[in-house]
Amino acid sequence: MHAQLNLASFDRTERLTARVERPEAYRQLFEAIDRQEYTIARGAGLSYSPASFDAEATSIELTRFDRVLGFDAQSGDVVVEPGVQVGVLSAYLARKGRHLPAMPGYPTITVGGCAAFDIHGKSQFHSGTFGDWVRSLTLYHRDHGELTCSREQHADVFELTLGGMGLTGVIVQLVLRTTPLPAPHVEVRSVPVRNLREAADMLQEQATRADCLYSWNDLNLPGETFGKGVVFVERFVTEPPPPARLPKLGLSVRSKLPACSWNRVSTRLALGAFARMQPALRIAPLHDALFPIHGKEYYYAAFGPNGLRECQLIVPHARWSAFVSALQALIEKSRVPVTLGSLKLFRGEQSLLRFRGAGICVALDVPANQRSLALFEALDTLALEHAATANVSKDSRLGQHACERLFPEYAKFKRELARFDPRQRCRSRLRAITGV
Amino acid sequence: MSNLPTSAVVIGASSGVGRALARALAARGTKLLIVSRDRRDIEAAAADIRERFGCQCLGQALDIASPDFDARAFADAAAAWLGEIDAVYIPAGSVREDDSGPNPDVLLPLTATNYLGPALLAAEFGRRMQEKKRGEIVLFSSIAAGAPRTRNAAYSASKAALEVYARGLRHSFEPHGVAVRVYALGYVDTPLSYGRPLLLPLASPEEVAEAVLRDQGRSGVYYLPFWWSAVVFALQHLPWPLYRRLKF
Repeated sequence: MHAQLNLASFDRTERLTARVERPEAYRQLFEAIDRQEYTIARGAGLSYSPASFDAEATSIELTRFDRVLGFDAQSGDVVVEPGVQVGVLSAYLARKGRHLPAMPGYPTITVGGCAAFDIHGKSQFHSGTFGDWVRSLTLYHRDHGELTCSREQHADVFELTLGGMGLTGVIVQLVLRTTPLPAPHVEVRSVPVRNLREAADMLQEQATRADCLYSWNDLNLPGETFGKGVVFVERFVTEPPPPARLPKLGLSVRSKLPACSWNRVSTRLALGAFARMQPALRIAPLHDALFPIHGKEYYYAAFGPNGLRECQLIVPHARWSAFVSALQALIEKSRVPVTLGSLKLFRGEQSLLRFRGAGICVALDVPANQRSLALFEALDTLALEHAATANVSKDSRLGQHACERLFPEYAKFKRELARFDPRQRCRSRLRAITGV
Repeated sequence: MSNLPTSAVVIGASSGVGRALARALAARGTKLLIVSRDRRDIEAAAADIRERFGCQCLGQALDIASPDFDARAFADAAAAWLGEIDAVYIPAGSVREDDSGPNPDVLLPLTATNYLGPALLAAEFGRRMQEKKRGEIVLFSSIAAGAPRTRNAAYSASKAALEVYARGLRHSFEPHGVAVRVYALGYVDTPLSYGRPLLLPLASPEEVAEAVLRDQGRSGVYYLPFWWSAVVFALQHLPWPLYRRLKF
């Protein structure tokens, strides 16, 4: 059985009608892949960019492959199917006294998607990215069949798959490393900062003390207040949270609002209110601390039918100060409301098309329109000037020309991918946009 | 509502309603024997239940539509693993794309999967429960059994046969303390309905599973969701000149 579904990237800037199959048995899965000329894996469909659908390919939805297949108490390794949601996995591991530190911010994201984009969490500065926690994975590809790969076995395919945007085949199984869960709850300390430079300094200062670390910044403020906000310093603690909890809002992410509600006035009001709402110290349940976006779906709904654009860049430490000045000038000139500004601390080396590298990770959300498109194109130039790395999974707009310039190993990725899959069996709209 | 089963068999447990039922039972601590045709799928399903719910669960690959299927031997094996069996759930079933109009090729396989296999299991387990004077057999029919049409004609007939047989079993077993329950399922979000243009809303397998467990201990024929009874009633009483024009 298959369906013709109207699919959209999470940022809603890319939409098309695609053929989708949703197998529930391995036999159905392999037959579905073998039967189609072109396929692409699809998990929760929450990627900002159009990674899981294409006009020419059949999307293979893997949400029914959501099982935990085994756990090794000695090593802490857990074996899972790709459709396992990270929220489910996190709860399961917590019961075992274990933890996977590289977690995305929303609990219904699937582990297959995490591997395909080598996602990062709020502790990248000491835990690395999701790929660092993948011991091995098993792919299914129409021309290669089932292929188990790791750093020791088919290492080239393994490296290509982590952050490979699903273009090496459908992941059918993963073996993930885990670490002991330090404590069942998280202390969240909110440290006010006066501007974006101070926020970055605070991240570096707290890096040795914090388990997770990120900031929220208002990038609509002028002068020395540009980036005023809060640094969230999180540490595992055994002290339980208070029993009373705020109710979760249940608004759909897929907005029914007729138009975007974010403009310069509403953005300033909302960001001001958010800043005032942050308590200096609170104890949060593990789930709430791991998945801060859960319960705040109204934020995305407010962008309306045209959606949003997100840009994420890793700026090298040496270029940070100059980058901030240039970023401020660009935003002020554009007059685009920046609905989210956030920083994280990154370490490691960039490779292929992965979002890795050492520096400060800055994220911006803006409403999707012509002005924000111009702003983001200017940001591409800024990123290039400051040797920054962009995040392909967050920015639907990042085309071949930009990718060629921003990723030193773009050509290598394309070449390796062509060698593994010369017929381009795995196709997505994102593949077409990035030109790989 | 009586106590939930402490031990149960679920046939067709690797996908759809069967998988949701197995998980719902596991969440309540029921010791399980789960069955489906493909070994890899059922072993994955059993491993997941053991890992996530911490309950005892054994997966067994078995094709109940096979001519070699031996319900008695299977019931013996189930008893060896579970001991006394409180409940047997049989949501296994299949449709075929080529089940449209007079296609004799689909009659035998669909009858074997949707009627013969479940009926053999229900009779065998019911007979054993009758001796213990407790237990329940839960079978799954379809709204299609009450309103057959060109598409899925053989499927509808096989489900109707199962429904009729279940009514007979109820008459036989209920006086001996064994409940026999049949659900005529409406649209459920399973592989059988995926991608089909549907006029009415889908129920999730999880909703169906919860409803089935809420009815624990009851006998009879039920529609799920319940409002499908009105739809089927209306279709059954529609004058033929109108019914034959329907495209659904």
